[in-house]
Order: sequence, then C-alpha cells, then structure tokens
Amino acid sequence: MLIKILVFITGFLISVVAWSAADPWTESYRLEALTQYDSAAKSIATVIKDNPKNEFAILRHGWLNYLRGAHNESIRDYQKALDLNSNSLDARLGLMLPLIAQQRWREVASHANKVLKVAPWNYYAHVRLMISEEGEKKWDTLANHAKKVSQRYPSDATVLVYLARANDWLKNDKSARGAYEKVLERIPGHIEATQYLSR
Amino acid sequence: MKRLSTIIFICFWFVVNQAWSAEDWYMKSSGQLLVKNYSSNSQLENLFGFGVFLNGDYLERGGFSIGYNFNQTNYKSGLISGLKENNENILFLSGRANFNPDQIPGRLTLRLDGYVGDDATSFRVTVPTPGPMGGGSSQKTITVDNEFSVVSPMVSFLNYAKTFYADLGYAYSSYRSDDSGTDDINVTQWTPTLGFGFNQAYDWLQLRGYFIDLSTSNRVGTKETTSALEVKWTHWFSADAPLMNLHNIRLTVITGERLYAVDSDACSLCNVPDLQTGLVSIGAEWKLNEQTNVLLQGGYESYEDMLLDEQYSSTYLYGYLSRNW
Repeated sequence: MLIKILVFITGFLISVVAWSAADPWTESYRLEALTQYDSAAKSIATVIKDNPKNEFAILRHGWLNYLRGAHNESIRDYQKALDLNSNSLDARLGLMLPLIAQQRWREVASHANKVLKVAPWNYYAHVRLMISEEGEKKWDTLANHAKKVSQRYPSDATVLVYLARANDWLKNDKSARGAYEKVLERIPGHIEATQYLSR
Repeated sequence: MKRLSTIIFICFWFVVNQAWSAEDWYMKSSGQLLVKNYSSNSQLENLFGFGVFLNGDYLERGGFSIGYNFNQTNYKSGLISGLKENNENILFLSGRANFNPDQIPGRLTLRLDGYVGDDATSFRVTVPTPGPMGGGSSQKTITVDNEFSVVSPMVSFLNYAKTFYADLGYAYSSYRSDDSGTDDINVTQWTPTLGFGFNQAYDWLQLRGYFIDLSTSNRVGTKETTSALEVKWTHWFSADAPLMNLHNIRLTVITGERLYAVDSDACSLCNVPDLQTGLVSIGAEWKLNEQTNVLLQGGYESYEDMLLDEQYSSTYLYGYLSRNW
C-alpha cells in the first residue's frame, strides 16, 4: 500500500513539474520578470502557433516585442489584435507604445483620438496624446489639453509635468512654476521639477 | 515622357497599396513669389516667378507633393541678338515613403522627384519685306522652345533625437532644344548631405555637396564638371522671440560652382545655362498661427556667363506663404 502511495505521489509531482515547465504563460511571465523579453516572446509565440486567433496571446506578444525593442513586430501584433477585435481599447492603447518609440506622432494622435471617442477620459489615451503633442511641439494645444486632463486627474503628477513643460516653452513662467510646484507636492524630489524651480 | 510615366506609375502603386483614411491625411498648400534683379549683365534684366504647391502626408507613412512654377526672365531692351524674354513652366511631382527599421535609431525616407517643363525664348527680329521700291523691313517675334525633364531619387535618414541627418540624392536632367544650333545636354548630379542639430534643437546646420557632370554641349562651352558646397544654418526661436514673434531665421551660403543644379529642398531647378559661382541668402519665417507660416528671404548670387565670358550678379527677394489644412 505504501509503495502504491509513493508511486502515486511521485507520478503526480512529475506531472505537475512537467506541466509547469511546459506552460508557456508561466514561462513568459517568469522570463519577463527576469527582463529576458526575447525568450518571453518566444514562449508566447508557441501559444500563437497553436492558436493564431488567441487575442490575449497576440496582445502579450506585442507587449513583449515592444519591451525587447522589436517595434515593427510589436506594431504588427497589436494591429493583428485590432483586426481580430476592432473594439479592443487594449490593442489600440498598446499600439501607441511602439508608435511613440518610433516618434510617429500623428499615428499616435490618430489612435488616441479613436480611443477617446469611445472612452472620453481614458487616462492612458490622454497621456499618450499629450506625448504626441509634445513631439509635434504643439505647445498651445498641449497646455490646454494638460490643463483639462489635470482637472479630471488632480492627483496625477505626469499630467502636471506636461502642463509645466508646455507653459515653459510658451514662456508662461508663472503657470510653469505653479505646475512644477504641484508636481513636487505629489513626487517630492522630482528631478525635472526641482531643476526648473531652482533656476 | 517615359520617365514621367514611370514616376506616375510608382506613385499610383504607392497610393493603391495603402489603406487610407481621409482624417489621417495632413494637407499643406503653399504659394511663392520670386523677384530677381540682374546687374553687370549685358543681356539679363530681371526675373519674376511664382509657384503653387500642394503637399499631402498620410500620417508619418509617406506623402506626395505637386507643384507648378512659372518664371519670366526679361532681357535688356535693344539687344542686337533680339532677345526679349524667356517664359518657363515647370511641373513638379514628388512621392515619399517613410520607414522605421528597428535596426537603426531613426527614420529612413525614400523619395522620388520628377520635374517636367518647357521654356520659350522670344526674339524680336527684323525681317525684310518685299516691295516695288526695293522693299522695307518689319519686326517680328520668333520663339525658340526648350524642353526639359528631371528625375531625382533620394534616400535620407534622420535620427530620433533629431541631432543627425544624412541623405544621398541623385538627379538626372535632360534639356532638349528645338533650335538646331543649340545642343542638347544631359546632366547628372550627386548631392551627399549631412545635417546636425544642436543647442537643444534650437539650431540646425546642414552641409550639402553638389557634384555635377555635364555632357558635351555648346550650351556650357568646355565645362564638364562642377562642384559646390552649400551650408545652411537655421535657428529657431522660443515663444518670446523678437520681431513680431519670429519663428526662425536661416542663412545659406554656397561656395564653388554649380550648373543646372537641382535643389531638393526648394524643389526648384537652377536651369540658367550660366555658372553659379556663389550665393548668400538670409531668411526669416513667422508662424502666424498653428496653421499658417510666412517666409521672407533675400539673397545675392554671382554668376559667370561662360559663352560671353562675363561675370555678373543678381539680388533676389523671395516670399513664401503656407497653410496646413
């Protein structure tokens, strides 16, 4: 009887270990945590190979490709996810990341505006739209935009940084200073705000 | 004509291979005026030119430009040669596609420009008229037509930090004349370019070499090659700029020799058959609002007429107005 129990437990343990080693999801999260994005992406690629329409696997592959600097592959993945599910805000928000890396500001703005059509105060879409406005040096637009978003997310420091930068470029020193002071209240020691205020 | 068909085919292919969305097009229209005055030249008096351009960019993926330029060169009155004026029409068509390879930290652009045009030089000639008393003479205007076409591909790179730019441009120009006494000429041009951004992107310095080979022609005497260096410096201002909120100022200097040069920045042809031996110009641009820009430029050029062995100069004023839609 004891032998039978030992054989059963051993068999169970072997199967658990074998299953976990083969599970590409677990493996991809583990490798991502180790910043081994290339291997993590390869792990998820096996899932996509088995099921080319696995939307989440494609999204995750896009994210891992973005992390490993394969921006064009990342764009293709997110676009594929968007083709599978055109309502996906995740895919559109994700797609903006490699586009930002490639400084394709108009494309970023185009996707951000599409998100904002259905989710008018989506935080990530607004921040990524602000990044594109900064990239295109649309300082008036950025200042007005950041001010409106800051009213919706008053505790957020990132939006205040964009508000401060736009006002700095526009030479509205008082407004820039006020925004950077608020940044320091939210993130004491914030490098950019500290440098500006110590001028 | 075959070359133009090829350009149109490539542009058409590019257009139909994209999934376009109307709201993602960024259109810009512009107009330009040029007034030039010649001095120390025994024949040339002045030049007046205007042009209109339409640019379209689909997001950052690529775009097109079409343009039309008209130039009228007036000659001094009473010339023995009878030269009166030259009217020139230039049609410009350009397509470009952008690429962002992961292997390099910036954007690559492939661009193909095409120019087709003609010019008509009119002469006032005196022709004898037969009559019972030995006849007399009357004045008549005759015109001599020239046709030309230019194909100019270019590959360029701009890094993401916008601190480094490089391009390599090529242009093949072909000039044909209806006048049997004027030889045709073919011109090849290579223009390697380097650009550098500095002072936190407030300044840009661009160096462009012009290396031009000319086929044998009585238009240019014995000249077979020319080379020149163009240096452009642009300085952008921040929001509290002087002179009615100036957006940028620019200084251009050309040293060396250029003949039949193709300027890919200005999208223009320098097709006077005289050797350009120098240029200095200064310009200032204002951003009137988010959509509208105005540029004013003034310059001084020096030339050498190789057939008349005459050195002369010109001063010009150039105005440019653009609007984004």
